[in-house]
Amino acid sequence: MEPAQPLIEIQDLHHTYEGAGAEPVHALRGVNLTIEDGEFVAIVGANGSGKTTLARHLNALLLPTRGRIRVAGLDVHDRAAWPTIRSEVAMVFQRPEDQIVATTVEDDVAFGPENLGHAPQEIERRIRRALTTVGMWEQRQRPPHLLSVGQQQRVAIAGALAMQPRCLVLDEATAMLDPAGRRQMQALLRGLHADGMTVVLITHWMSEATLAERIIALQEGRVAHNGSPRSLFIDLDKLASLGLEPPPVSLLASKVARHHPEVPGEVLTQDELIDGLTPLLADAGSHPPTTLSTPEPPDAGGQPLVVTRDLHHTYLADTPLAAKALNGVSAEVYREDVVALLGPTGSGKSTLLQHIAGLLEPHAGQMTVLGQDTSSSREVDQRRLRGRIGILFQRPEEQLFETYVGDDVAFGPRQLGLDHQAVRERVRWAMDLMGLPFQAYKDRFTQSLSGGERRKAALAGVLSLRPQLLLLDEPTAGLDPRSRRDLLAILRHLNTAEGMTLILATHNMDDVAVLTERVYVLNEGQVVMEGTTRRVFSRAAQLRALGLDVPSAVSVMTALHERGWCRSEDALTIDEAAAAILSCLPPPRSGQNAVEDGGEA
Amino acid sequence: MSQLEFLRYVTIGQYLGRDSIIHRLDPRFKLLAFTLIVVAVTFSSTYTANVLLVLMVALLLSLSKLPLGHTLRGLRPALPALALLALFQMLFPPQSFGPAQDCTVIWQWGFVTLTTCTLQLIVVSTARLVELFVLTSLLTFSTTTTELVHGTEGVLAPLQRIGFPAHELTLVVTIALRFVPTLALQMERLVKAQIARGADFGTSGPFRIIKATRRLLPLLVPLFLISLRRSEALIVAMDARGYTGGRQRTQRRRLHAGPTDYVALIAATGFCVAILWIDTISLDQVLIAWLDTFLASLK
Amino acid sequence: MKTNGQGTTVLVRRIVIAAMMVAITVLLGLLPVGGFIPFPTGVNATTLHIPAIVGGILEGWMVGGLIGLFFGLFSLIRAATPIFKDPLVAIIPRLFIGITAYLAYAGLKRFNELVAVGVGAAIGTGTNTVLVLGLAVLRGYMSISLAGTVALTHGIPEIIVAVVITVSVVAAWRQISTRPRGSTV
Repeated sequence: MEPAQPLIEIQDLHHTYEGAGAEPVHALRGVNLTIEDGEFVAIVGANGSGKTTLARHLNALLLPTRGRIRVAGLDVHDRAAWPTIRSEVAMVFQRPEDQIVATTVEDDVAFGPENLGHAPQEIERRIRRALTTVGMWEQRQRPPHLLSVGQQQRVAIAGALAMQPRCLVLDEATAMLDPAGRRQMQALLRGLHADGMTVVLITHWMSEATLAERIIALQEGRVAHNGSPRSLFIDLDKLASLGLEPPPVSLLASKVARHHPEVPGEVLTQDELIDGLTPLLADAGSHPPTTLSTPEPPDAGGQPLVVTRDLHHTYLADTPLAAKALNGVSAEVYREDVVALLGPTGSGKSTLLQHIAGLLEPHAGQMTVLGQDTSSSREVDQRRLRGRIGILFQRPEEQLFETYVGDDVAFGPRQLGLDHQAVRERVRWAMDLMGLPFQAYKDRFTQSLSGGERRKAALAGVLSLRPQLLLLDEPTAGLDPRSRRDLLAILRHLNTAEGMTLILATHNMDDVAVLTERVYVLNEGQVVMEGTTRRVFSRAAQLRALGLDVPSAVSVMTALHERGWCRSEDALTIDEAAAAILSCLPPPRSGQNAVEDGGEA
Repeated sequence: MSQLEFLRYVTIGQYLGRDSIIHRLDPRFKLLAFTLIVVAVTFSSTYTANVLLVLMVALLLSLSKLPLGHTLRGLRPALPALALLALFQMLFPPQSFGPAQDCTVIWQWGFVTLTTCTLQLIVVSTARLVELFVLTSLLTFSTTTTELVHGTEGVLAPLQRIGFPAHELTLVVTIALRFVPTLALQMERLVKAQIARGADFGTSGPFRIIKATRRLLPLLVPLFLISLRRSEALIVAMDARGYTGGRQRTQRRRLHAGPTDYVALIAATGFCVAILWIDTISLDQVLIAWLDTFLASLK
Repeated sequence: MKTNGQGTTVLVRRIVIAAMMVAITVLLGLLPVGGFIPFPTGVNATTLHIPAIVGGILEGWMVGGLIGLFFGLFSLIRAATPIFKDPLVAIIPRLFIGITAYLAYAGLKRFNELVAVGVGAAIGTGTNTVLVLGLAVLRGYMSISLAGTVALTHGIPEIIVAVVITVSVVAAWRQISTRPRGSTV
């Protein structure tokens, strides 16, 4: 019997983008690849490696400049084959909102099957099945703008499933989801794969890529690795050269293994790490654990910069859509603090930030910012605070409106009425700080910048106000790991070197671990936990119950604690966790120490 | 600072559910009947026609069981505009109006002239406004947006066979309706972000048109830019789901017309024809002439 | 089915852009901000015609005309004055906004793209003003002299508004150089 034909065959794929007047971009330079029925494949690579371009070739959205692609035996250049190809290979994209076409969920899911010309009863059946699979059947009559981002993405997936494809391609489809949404998505994908679906997952996040059986890593348009996840992630040097970051757990394991050869360094998941450590820790006996001494951050003392007392706010009051966003919130932020507001979607974080910024008026309660009582807003007071508070909303790159970058960054200072020289100085400072060198970037077209660069430009536009207080709503959402690290480093610099007070609303726990000293956890409009970052994160179970994640380091340590080991409750970052684990382990039996090569990966 | 909650303003379909004949009409037939009556209104310039139209509209309103006060409330802001229009027409009277007739002056005071033509114009304009207003309210209050879209689709569908892009057009409406609330939320975020940067959308200071326009740039330009970006993403997503136009596709929803629907459509057609006939033969003049003769014969 | 050399179709492109511009039109008409520029004289220069112009310039006369059609329908539904409650006055002029804007732009593009955009915006707006007022006169709502006055007091500001906004949008989107040396900072 003949071997089964691969679902997707790619031979010597080249794709070149012709820019108008600009240099042509060779996004793909000879990719050879096959994807078999039923596989779970991840495609990874740094920005610009060609991932998205490759993905779009899988269902003939893009056509090869050179080379051959066959999908389900059909050549992608055959236009008549496109409907079949697209019903065999369905695709879900990064921005959930921008895939939904109709005014209700069920009408949108019907779109694909209708295009394929199926009978109405068949379409109904498919809608039901698809929505039930993703868990959105109950919400089938809802309009998209009332759904959360995670729900919208599930609707998009249902729309793809309704085509009954053999293969589902997800082009960075989890980028805009919160951790809970991402976990849901991963569970869904595992389920689909178990039922025989071929899954192609394009992602930045290595922890997601570990779901796959096979990982294809791209570098500058070529395949740099095509093998099992394990074979890729154990080679940290190779990962670094590809511009990728290992999953946090793998990183942790490798750090520990460097100093303790008996620890398995090639680990993909937390369970594997725990299992690997178990035999060693069981032998530890009464090896006394070390508690990392973590001094409490000194009391800032003096007047707090921001005080809120018993704040209440209701959205769309007096309409059928009214929702209580804040239900009695009290908090303080002191000068040069870095405070995080944590909480699941809908907990009120964004709303609180907007109140602090003076953009919303509380329905009850008190708000004092920088010495001004802003509870009952008056235009005059608002104006006095302008320029002293900066706020960065989600997807701030959307606020750019000028043709040239420099002009947009200059907008704030110009509105403050500063003279040309002062404006120029501020813009230069802000842009250099954000890694967009002033001379090089000021005359660039805003729309020619990459997504990450535009976000930096937007932040520069807020920083050019030189605010004392900087409020950020999900600053790293949707960013790839490298851009994320850059941004966090800049934020830390702003606090330590420039003395800016920062308040972040986020659900990215790893950000919080690295950056903030104090945390308020909100749920349903109320503060449910507060304190130093360490103390709050030590209550992992409570956080999980709220639907929040904990940083990977904390997750590992908590798992160890639960088994009665390593009672060092203060590890927040990977490095601290590595140190803590090493201190709990018995010394290596062979007596030889692994080569010391320090430094963070 | 007023609360920036743009979703408040964006309720296009102010659907009011009632159990009435009008509500239960097949949306295709409702739309066709509505269009026919609107055509009648558009081409009615006689008093007679408008009397009949007002009666018809009142009948439909009562059939729909919709609250009268609520429906008419929207007319209130129109009153000053109406008064202004009337004033302008009395100051600058148009040459003639409606079926050719001579305008005789009824009343004059300084620059203000009231002729029979002006009077007719004012009355008919007001009547038309009221009729159209109530008709559109009737339509939007008694039909959900989904029904409206499916209805339009259904009406235009037969044209698909002769190459008319019926589905494509209804898809434009669907997508537009779907994005209005989303863009409203987008605008809200934009306004807040730009205000926080010091943008001033108010109208303080001496007025200069270019300055006033430039104030809106931080709001309008990003709105367009983001919408265009979203469009690019949506285009790809729709292509990926195999959209190739209305020709080969099927409809999930099936609308079924009943006898009431046909009756309604026939009645609307008949009524429209009648109104247009009244206008063409200038029934007003005929009636007035007949009335004169009748009164004369009584003497 | 026309494609652009890749796997996406021109049809879908036109549908989506038209729809998005219609959505913006509706939005500007419903929200208290951005839909018009209030003048001290009490006259409002509107911005509602701008999406039709932008759509026409970016995607051609079909898209521009389509957006105009829906703009007309929308203004018919929302109108509170007898003039705009007249379907003929509300719809017919609007069909031409995007079409004339595109034609002007396409004709002048080879000389200077930015100027072509500006002229296109001006002509699109002017078409709207002239046709609306013209139909209003024909239908008997106003005299020619009144129409002329309104054309000047209302029409000219509307043209300025349209040109400023359209040029800013298209320049930013298409990355057309508005100043030889770039930003002013």
